[in-house]
Amino acid sequence: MKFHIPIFLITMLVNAGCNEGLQPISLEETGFGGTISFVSKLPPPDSLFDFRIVAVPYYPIDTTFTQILIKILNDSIAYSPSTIQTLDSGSIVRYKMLVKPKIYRYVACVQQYGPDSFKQWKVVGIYGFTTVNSAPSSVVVKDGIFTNSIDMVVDFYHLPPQPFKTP
Amino acid sequence: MKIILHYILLSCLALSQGEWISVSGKIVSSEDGNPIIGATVLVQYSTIGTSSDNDGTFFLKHIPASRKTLSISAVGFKTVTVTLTNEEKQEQTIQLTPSPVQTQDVVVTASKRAQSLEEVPVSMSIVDAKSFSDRNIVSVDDALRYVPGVNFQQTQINIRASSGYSRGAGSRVSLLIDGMPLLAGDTGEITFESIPVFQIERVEVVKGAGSTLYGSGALGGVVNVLTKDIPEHPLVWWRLYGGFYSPPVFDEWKWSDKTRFTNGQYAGFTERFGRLGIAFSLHRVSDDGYRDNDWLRRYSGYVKMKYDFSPYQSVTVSTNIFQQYRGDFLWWKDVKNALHPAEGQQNATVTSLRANSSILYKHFVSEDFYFDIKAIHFRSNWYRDSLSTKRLDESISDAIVLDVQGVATVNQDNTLTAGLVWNGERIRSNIFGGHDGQGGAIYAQDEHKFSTDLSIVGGVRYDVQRVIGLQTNQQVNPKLGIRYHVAEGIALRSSLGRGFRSPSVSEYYTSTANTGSAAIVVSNTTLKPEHSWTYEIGMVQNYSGHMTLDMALYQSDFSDLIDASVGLDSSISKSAAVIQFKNITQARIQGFEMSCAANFLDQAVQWNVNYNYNWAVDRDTKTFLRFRPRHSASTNISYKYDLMTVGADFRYSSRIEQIDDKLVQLAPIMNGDERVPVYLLDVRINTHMLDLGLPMTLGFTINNLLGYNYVELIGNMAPPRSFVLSVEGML
Repeated sequence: MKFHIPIFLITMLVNAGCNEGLQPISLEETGFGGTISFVSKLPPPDSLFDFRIVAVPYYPIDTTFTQILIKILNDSIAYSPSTIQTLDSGSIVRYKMLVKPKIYRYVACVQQYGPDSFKQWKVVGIYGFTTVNSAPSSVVVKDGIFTNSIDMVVDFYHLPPQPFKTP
Repeated sequence: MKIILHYILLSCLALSQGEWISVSGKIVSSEDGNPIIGATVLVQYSTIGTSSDNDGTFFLKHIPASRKTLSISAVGFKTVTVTLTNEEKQEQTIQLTPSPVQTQDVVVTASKRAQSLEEVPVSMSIVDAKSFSDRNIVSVDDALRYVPGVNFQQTQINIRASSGYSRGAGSRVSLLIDGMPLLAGDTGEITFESIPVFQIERVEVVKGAGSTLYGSGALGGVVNVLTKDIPEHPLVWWRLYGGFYSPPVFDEWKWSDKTRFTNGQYAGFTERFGRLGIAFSLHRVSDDGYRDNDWLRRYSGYVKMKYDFSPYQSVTVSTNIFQQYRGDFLWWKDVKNALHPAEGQQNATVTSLRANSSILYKHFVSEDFYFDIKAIHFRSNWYRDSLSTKRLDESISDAIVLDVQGVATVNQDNTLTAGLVWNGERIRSNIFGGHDGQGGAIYAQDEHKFSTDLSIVGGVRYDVQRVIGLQTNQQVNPKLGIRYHVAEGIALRSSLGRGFRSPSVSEYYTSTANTGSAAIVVSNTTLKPEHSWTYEIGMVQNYSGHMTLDMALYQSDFSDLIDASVGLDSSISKSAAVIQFKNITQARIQGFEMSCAANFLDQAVQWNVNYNYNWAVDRDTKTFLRFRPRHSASTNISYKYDLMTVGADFRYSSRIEQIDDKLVQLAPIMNGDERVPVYLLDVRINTHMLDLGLPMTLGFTINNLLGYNYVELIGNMAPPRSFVLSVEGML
């Protein structure tokens, strides 16, 4: 009998403290991510105004940049927040894109090389583009699934083919 | 030649020394007269010894009349010496006085010889055999988690923040079994699971640099596992346990409809046939695992044979063979799927076979001098299979160590210990390559007693280590320690010592693209050894035999610490990150450690509490070192009531402050930065049936009673609540 109260108190205490710690936090993010490896020196500051990742559902060949801008405004092309603050030559940066579920046939890193944020952009890295494979790879994004390992390599001084048509 | 003749003459004299005495008796507590189980009885200056049985009785024979002083010790009691009479057969009832502390325990690791823990000038902790069976511990690392100043990154030990997480390459703690090193020849890592826990007499942990006696690897400390001696009486023992894991509390983590079981069986016997004593045991463990592809099966066999040429000379040969098959769970898929392995790890398995054989020859030449010759061979063979590729990674390594040591009592005030060591390694691996290495060392240490209250220990060791084809690493490691009894029950200690660690073959030569990530590992043959200096001041105070307080302040300065450097090198790879081991860290660790042990109600209640604080900083980047908690604490309490003992262990460590972000990013380990402080509560009930005439103990353990969800290593959820029932017995 004399142990009943302590046992009751211990049971209550244990019960109150149960199942704490890590939780299976919701990961209902839809998108993709990976690393960007910078294999060259960064351009000088006067030619590096911004740096972003874009995901385009089609290969944007023969598209003017103005047309791309319109599509961005229509929300049919995804783009990342500016990542210029995290750039560092000879380093690896992790990125994350939360996008709508669809097939993105062209995922690329783009550099704003001049002060005109509407026109002065160029592609500096493409997902799937290597010295062996010169075609971009598609990224399939499904609802509620976050795909990793969409890694890209950026060399500011050896650019991949530029898709934009001069307006 | 003269020395050899002298030695032969002394041996003959020893063999021919007069009459024999045999003694039987009982060891009891002076407080209540209860028998003391497992007390150690040693004949001083000889190789003869035994331990008391379940009813406290013991029996010793072939004691030479010239050496009839017995030393009797037991955990929780003061050590006593008893001088026998010349009677040929005699009986003794020996009373031991309770002492709540371990200050009277005899330890062998601090100075490479048996000495009272009271005399040791460094911080030491002891885990006794009872802790293993009471807590149903199946691997040595689980017992060490309750030692103050020790914590783990999964299975990688960290003493006083000396180690972080080295991805299985190298250890800054040296593991010994009966004083002989047991580190894998290829990776230099510790494989705790291969040690036969049921054969353990106790585990001694020396904290701080121990390279003066133990050479490379003892940078942060030494763990010495001491196996049981072979008793005079035949003994058969067995242990069975079985249990299961609680299912995950969150639906998102549920991955199997089946209950996940764990069970194990141990059995063994010891017997003496004249001068030959044999101990033999078998061991099997099966665990379904609480995570997907985290199962394991273990089998091991252990044989120990001791032959007494005379009361002064013995040779002990032991062999342990361990085989393990297990799923290879490296890290989780993500925290939402925390019990699933990441993509590419499903169905991967690791098979390992580890075998160690050792021989120890010990000879008490006189009361003032003895020497021993030790040799150990450790083979480690493991391979990893993925679903698509057999033997994706594979390594076979052999490590041999030969150690010759003498201990001389030069006079009443000086004890000199000196020795020579040779070691050799041979590695054949598809990721480390084929490499051979060897090294040697010479060491000496003198312990000088200035008075009964003041003693000083000074020593030095010179080491040479070399992997064939690479530069030779040499190192001189000095140490100095002082122990001073300020007053009755109070002792101060202080020490400084140098540590070093020669890079392991895996750190020099690992070269693989099989990391399952966008990274490749490349070799670095220009690595230099790591170095450290450790300084410590401590105090132990005994309060009226019922409570002991031990405190220590320490500082360690590390230089050239080896760590994995992650970066880009276009000359090696255009697209993948390059991982390479480099000497990149200069670190300082300052800390405080406190432990308090007490007993109440005529020792029915045993309680202790430990706390450890570490300020571990990278001196170059001024950041906290990775994979180290700042605070850790533990407490345990047990209460013996009639036939039953109930106990609880609680452990806390603060949230790991820094992890390896690049490892998280590049592996990638999704949600790899998810971590929390650790609050772990285990409870147990043991019922001793001896008083009912059954030589058995029933145990029931609930591990992680709170069902607390945490990680010890990034991306690796620790075990959930589990229930284990055990029964063990002796005949």
